[in-house]
Amino acid sequence: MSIIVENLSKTFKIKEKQKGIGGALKSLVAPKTKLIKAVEDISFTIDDGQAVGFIGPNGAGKSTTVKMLSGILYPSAGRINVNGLVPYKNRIEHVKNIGVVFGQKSQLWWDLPITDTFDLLKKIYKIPSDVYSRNLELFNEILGLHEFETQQVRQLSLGQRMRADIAAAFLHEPSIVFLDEPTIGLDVVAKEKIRLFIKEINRVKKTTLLFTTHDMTDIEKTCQRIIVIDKGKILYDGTIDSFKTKLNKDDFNEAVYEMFTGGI
Amino acid sequence: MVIKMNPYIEYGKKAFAKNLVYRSDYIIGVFNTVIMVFIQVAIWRAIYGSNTQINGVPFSYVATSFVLSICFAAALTANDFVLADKVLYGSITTELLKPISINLCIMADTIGNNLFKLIMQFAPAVIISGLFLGLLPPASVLMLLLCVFSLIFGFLIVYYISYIIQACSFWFTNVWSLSVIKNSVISILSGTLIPLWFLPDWLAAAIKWTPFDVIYFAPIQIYLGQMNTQEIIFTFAKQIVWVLLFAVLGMFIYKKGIKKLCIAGG
Repeated sequence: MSIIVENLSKTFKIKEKQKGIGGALKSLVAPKTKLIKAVEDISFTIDDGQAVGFIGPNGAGKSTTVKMLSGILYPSAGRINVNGLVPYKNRIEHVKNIGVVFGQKSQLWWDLPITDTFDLLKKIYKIPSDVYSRNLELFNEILGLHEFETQQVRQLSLGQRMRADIAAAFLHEPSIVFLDEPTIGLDVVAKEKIRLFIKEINRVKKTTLLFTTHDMTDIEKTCQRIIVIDKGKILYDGTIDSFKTKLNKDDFNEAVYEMFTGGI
Repeated sequence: MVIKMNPYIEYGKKAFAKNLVYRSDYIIGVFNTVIMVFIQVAIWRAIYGSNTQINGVPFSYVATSFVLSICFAAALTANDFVLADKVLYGSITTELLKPISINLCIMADTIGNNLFKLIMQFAPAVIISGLFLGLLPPASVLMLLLCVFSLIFGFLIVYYISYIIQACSFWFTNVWSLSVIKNSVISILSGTLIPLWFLPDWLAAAIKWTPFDVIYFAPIQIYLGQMNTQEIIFTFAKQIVWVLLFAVLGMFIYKKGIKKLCIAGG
């Protein structure tokens, strides 16, 4: 079992700002805080090599869960085990075995060309030279990184940057990769390239994937299983086909829409 | 092999190389340092007037002290905003996702920058101002070596004071004001503005209890051969104690900060 999540919860303390100057002064003297439950008592397990779509509307708690699984956010309650490690306790050991892609945020060095970033990653993860060049070759083939590999990251288009970011996350052959909206804002061609890549890596390297997106085609083309979450709770966990059957829809998109607009 | 694979050396090299891109920056940097030295020395030449000594200090000591301390202060710096920028722009989360120590990365980055400055800024600035203003040679080869060692510890004091300020960025998004206060305190109390020989006795005595006199001033006194063995040993002991103290305090604040970040979400 790659990922085990038991009764996981995360509560944020948010400062409430009151209106106007009087309110601002009041908040300064006696700040009022509000508790927000981002994730509430969720449990699931993911087997080695499984590709799982993690879907839900904005603010459902997807990113919060991904952050807790990757170890950069401490849970309020519950238990997480990834590859036999507790993410937030053994940070350095844990992150050696995972890859993370945040569509909203690049992990590439802004003022370096991507080849330099890859070289640095090779050293950081201590990737053997033969593995490194073999992977780069494979990634180039699918993602077409050659066209822009000598440009500084800041000069890349969103699609190019995203392709480079995804390659960077898979370079050290992690056994688990978290993809948090990697196709956000991309055109159809770029999306298709990324889907193809993810599917291929999952097939060849047996990488466990947790894929968050708002594009249901991404999920249909890459994942065997979906976990649906809303308001911090899991609504569904199973295959895409039985999801469609459950909601009585032929189209996956419509089924998802039905669920979020209060089908059940 | 282990050394070759070390990612931190790579970080240091990248920081060093980044400086090469901004060529005009470094020419202006050298120019700026030289002008500062010239102004300070000119002021003190006027103060000395026809006197050969004031408080028993010959003018040549003052000139040497300014040449070395201002050039060292320009070369051995720590950027107060490395961690603050990471927190402000959120890149700290992506770095937490890599199997590296963020503290060692900051250190490697700083050392890379400072090596560049030592070669490309300190050396030319010392040569230019030394030629025109007169730089005394070190008291002996041994004293020169001891001066270099104590400067390394002096740099570590500057580094960990900066690190404490950087670690505060988990609470204050802007550490600019803290940085300005720190820089003024260091430049006044470390002797780069007024050599500590000329401070009022009570202030000089008070500074003995702070880390500031052993950053640049004590190494220069070693260089000039003004310290006996006992004083040199005391200087090193004092430096080590302050480095450890600041390092431990900085790490403590940093750990608290990371915890806060991971509880509140970055």
